[in-house]
Amino acid sequence: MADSFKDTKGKDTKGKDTKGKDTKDAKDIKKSLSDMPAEVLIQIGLALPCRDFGRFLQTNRSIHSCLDSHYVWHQRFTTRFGQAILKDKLNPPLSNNDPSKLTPSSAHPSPRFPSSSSQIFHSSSNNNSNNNSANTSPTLQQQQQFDDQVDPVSAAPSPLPSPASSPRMTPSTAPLMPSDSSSDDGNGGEGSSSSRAKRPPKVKPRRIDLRKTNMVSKEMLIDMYKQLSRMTLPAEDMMIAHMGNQFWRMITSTESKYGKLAELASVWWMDVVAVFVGVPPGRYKVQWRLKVTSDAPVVNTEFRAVLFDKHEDQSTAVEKKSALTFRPMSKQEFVAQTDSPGNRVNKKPFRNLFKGFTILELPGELHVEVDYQNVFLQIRNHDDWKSGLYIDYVRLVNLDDPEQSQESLSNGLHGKRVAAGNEPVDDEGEEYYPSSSSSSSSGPLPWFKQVLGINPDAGIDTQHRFRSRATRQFHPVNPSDLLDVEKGESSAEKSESSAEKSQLSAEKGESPSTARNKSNELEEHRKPVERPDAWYRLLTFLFIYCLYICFWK
Amino acid sequence: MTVILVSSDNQDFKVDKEVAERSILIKNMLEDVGESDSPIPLPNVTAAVLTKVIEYCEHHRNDPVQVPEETDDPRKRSNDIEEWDMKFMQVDHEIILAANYLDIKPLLDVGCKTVANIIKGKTPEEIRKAFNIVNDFTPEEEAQIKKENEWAEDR
Repeated sequence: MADSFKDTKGKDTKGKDTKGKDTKDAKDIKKSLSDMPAEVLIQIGLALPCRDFGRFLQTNRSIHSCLDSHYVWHQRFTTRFGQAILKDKLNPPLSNNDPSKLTPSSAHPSPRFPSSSSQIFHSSSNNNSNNNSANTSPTLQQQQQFDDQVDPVSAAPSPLPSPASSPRMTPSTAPLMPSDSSSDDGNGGEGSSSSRAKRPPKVKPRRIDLRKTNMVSKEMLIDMYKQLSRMTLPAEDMMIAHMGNQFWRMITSTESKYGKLAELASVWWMDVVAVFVGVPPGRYKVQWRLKVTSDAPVVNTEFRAVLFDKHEDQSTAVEKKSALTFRPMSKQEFVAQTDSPGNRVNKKPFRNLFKGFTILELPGELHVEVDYQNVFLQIRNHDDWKSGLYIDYVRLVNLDDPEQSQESLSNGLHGKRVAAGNEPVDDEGEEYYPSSSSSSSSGPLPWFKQVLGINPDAGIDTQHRFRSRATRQFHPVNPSDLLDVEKGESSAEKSESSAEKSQLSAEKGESPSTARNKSNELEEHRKPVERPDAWYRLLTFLFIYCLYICFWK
Repeated sequence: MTVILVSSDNQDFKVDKEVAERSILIKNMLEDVGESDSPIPLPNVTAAVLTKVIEYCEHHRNDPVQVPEETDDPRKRSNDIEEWDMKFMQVDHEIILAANYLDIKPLLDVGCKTVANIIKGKTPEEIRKAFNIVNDFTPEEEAQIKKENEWAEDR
């Protein structure tokens, strides 16, 4: 179809015109999308997503004038976000003394191009073959009806056929109603400027009435559209329980492009909610940009996403079934979903696993089907005290968009994970995990390991096993001393050690020194089990030490 | 019952009344004319385009008539076009103009969505090239409009 819009002088066109070459040439010259009737252009504009609509506006003056109108923006707004959001704006309060609830972001509307409107009407009037003014299309009828109902002043009869730009072009000769004068902005409507020239400038901010189809209300609509169509929500726009007191606070920070972070001091009831409205159909990944200095706020915390419709109330989303849910039960599980390489999760302090902020991407995809829907995102953990979390933003990454899909950790950032920081650890108040190699070389009693589920070597690189700081700090206990106590269970553990020996020997790249050390270790009877938390290990170590003292002293 | 439609180049087309009434314009004309068998002139539609329009209406003769007030229909909002319709629209933009003139909303929707699908993913310059649009902005105006609509790039 795009080819049909190009010059087809040399082709045998389907629309053969027997009236002569001139008409045919005129037809060929007219074959431009910008020459289409306004109602057709509006239909095309309404079918375009936001980005493509913005680009389409930049193509041509007449297209810009036709599509950058109050009617089109209002249609786009209600299609995407629904009418309910505009309810309050369309029914202003009775009193005219109320301060304005919303003012346009810019003090003055951006300059328009007054000559463009005349051009579009000339072109549309020339295109009468398809735009019979006596039989206007439903789109134009709806627009005119809309304009008439909401703004009878600006809907004065206009000599120009297309009402698409009538609010801007129509001079308002009728005297303004008193209510209009108090509610209308000084910039609203070219026609009102002459009657308002003698009025003294008002000091208090004006209330903008969305029922008016003037420049200011259009700017307000666009601003609201901009705000609501964001795919990235900063922490400032989230709903965080206990924000503002000693539990959560907003801090200014240069680490965020938004300039602010939500800082978790300490809270029991952690509940963070972010809502995206009017999300277009497609597949999305949910990404949180966080800084974690402790695993307490993320382990056993539920990160969930719920879809709900435009007409549904947001409060219903809390109890709805999650479309996506992620509850990491361990540090490894959490780190696996971030952009951290995740090396030595149990060796390093938690905050050193990340270089400052990290991106947490929830596993799975969010599918928005068919129509625009709202997305309810929540971080909740209502158990125990937690601290050490900073939230920058949350965003939805559209996997169907080739320009955005690279942002997903599963696509673009895979393999480019940020290296963890190696800055010196400040252990004050930070969690610290002493290396398990100390316990491995000291040889804790195997039955303790079996009962308490300690795996000293879980996740440890065998090459660096004996180079850790903890190894230097702790005196290794002679395994043979402990093994004397374990004689009764040695038979079962020997089989385990042989299994582990084969496993260890299969690892490549081991130096002779480590091989020797490994052979020492293989004498110990170990069973690879999962590593408990730090305080469990500390208690275990103390208990073993007491036993050691009791038995040998 | 059949009606006779006459294109701009004086070619007659006999179609069923049910098919012809997919066009609101023709339906209104038939109501005005009553039971008369006089042909209905369509001076703004050529024979070739009218052929295609009739083909479309024949194919969709059993589709439910869309009520204009149903603006919340998700099917309307999605850009999914039937495969048959997609192939059909690879013909001529004049079908869109004819659908607009004859007031056949489904055909107009399909046409506009087809054009929208072509526009998607293109830069403004590529859109101009694809649809033979003349850039009549001055460089300053173009830069300003680009800046005004920059926010839409990541929405």
